[in-house]
Amino acid sequence: MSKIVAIAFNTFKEAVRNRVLYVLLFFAIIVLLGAWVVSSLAIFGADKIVRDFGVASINIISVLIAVFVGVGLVYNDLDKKTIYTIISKPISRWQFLVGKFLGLLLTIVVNILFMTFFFLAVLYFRDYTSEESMTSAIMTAADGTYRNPSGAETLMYYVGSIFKSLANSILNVVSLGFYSSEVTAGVMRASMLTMLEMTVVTAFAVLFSSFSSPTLSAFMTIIVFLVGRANEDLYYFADLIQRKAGGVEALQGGQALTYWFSLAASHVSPNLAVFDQREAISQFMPVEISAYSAAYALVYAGCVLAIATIVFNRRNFK
Amino acid sequence: MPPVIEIKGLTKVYVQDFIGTEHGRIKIRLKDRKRIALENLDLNVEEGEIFGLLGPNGAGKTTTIKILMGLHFQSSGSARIMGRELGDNSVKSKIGFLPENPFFYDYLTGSEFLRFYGQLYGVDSATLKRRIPELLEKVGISHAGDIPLRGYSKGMLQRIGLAQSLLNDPKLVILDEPQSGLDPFGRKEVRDLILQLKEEGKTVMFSSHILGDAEMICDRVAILHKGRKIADGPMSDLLSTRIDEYEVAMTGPSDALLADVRKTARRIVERRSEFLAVFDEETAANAVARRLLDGDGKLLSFTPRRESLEGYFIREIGDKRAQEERSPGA
Repeated sequence: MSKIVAIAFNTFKEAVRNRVLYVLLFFAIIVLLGAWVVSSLAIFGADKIVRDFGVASINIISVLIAVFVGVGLVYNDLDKKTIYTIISKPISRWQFLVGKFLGLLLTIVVNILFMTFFFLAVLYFRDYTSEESMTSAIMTAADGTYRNPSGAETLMYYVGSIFKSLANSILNVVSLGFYSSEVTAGVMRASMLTMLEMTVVTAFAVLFSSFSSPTLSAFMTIIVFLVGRANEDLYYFADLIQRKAGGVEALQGGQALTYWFSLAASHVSPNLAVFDQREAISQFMPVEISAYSAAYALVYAGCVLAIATIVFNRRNFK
Repeated sequence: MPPVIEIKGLTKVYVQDFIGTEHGRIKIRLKDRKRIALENLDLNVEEGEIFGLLGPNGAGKTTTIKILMGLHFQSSGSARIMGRELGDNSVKSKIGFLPENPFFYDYLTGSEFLRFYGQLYGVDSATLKRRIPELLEKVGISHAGDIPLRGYSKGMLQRIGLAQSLLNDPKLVILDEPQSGLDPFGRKEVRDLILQLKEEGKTVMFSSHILGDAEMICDRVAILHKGRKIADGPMSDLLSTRIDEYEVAMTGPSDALLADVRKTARRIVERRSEFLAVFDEETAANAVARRLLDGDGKLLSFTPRRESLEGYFIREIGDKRAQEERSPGA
């Protein structure tokens, strides 16, 4: 176990010292700030747009981290032959793979927490600095009489809001959402669901990179993510084709092909819709993390890693 | 006492991909995809000896070592280390291994790197705390423990690679081309280190394509050529006594002597206050050594070096194809 942990922490170190990660995080910050800009263009439902946009951005950037940081990790060890000195130590190949997987997952979890924190800070700051709240704050300060705030007052108010937003978002992230209102807690829970989803996606990234090049692995991992997201839709699509034709036996030619392909894809790919709660977020409904979704992520990732181990165990390291 | 390494009929056949690259061009192979890297190798390495695995490039040395370390799987035949199957973790924990031209995580500092590898060996942190500075000292890079490996020179990487192979105080040390890429001083230090390991009671197996590296320290060698063992036994039995060059290492030579050495030596390497001169003629080398002994400086070592392994092949086997395999820089 301590050997797996050693590899996991080293993988984390490797990822943290990888430039790609910072490019993606910088991108994340821009996009999350963009959520605010986009919402100000909306005539109504600005809150919905901000939350939708933010939660979806965190999700997509996490996938990009899993893909672009993840696929290189195992491959680099093979390509640069660092694997020679690792596998020759008293460590099994599966321990190496699991260590890599956990290190990558740790990287992603830390990044999701960072992005969630930043997004919540943007949300709180937006609330504090909305026109109403500013006006009311200035009015209270001026003995109930209305007057325009001076430049210095506005600046002080902004500075105060920044600190309040940061404090609130730290509390929210640290308390995993229990501290705050249902809506911001929902963002936190959506992030945790994203972590579960990334458990599955990361396992695939490790599997693919254990036998193919980074470019091909990245491509295949993204395909798995997209098909996984469309998993339920593919199933209903297959069902629809079959019902329209009046039964499986009546399917012909291209129709039959589409039917079987959709059905197979929906059975083979992971059902990532389990982790998708964006609808609930935007409808201000409570986001639930069910035991089912957690168990699904862990069991699925475990199976994928088992396959990766079987592949990896048979490899000659060139 | 059973042999530390016991190899019987080891064979490795590589099957090349249908689509591959050759000389930078894409090549599609439909037949002749099999390449025999190792054919029916029998080999024993006894406890406490220094064993040299010699041969020109492409002879199968690295393949043998990779199979022993569980990085490749043999096509047929068997090999055992300390009486156990290959890949057994209890055996791996008693082996130190340095691959050829090693590359390590270059974002780690020297000490971080050794700590990480120590953890992989399952060495506890108290022992590591003590052993890491010792090992850095032993391989002569104690000044570089806090520098990231990306700032290391090739020689320093080779040294830290040696250090990582000794983290677990191994019983058997396997080194693949430990002296490649090192300057003459570095080669000498590696030789000294290998001898020191033997004194500590460890078994050492190393590969080299340069006979000179092996002949001074090996108890026994095996010579491979194109995947086959063509000879094994004590080195002196295998090779002619023809000597190609003489190496004189000295410190603090007088200016007059140094001027003469520059005239007669084929080449001269300087490092700090040490000089290493290589002579073609025995008489010239002897003259310099004599002057050093007479007080014109200090003689550190005098080494007659035999012909290269390539020379041996060209002469003994008379195989023209061996010439084509001559490695650059060997």
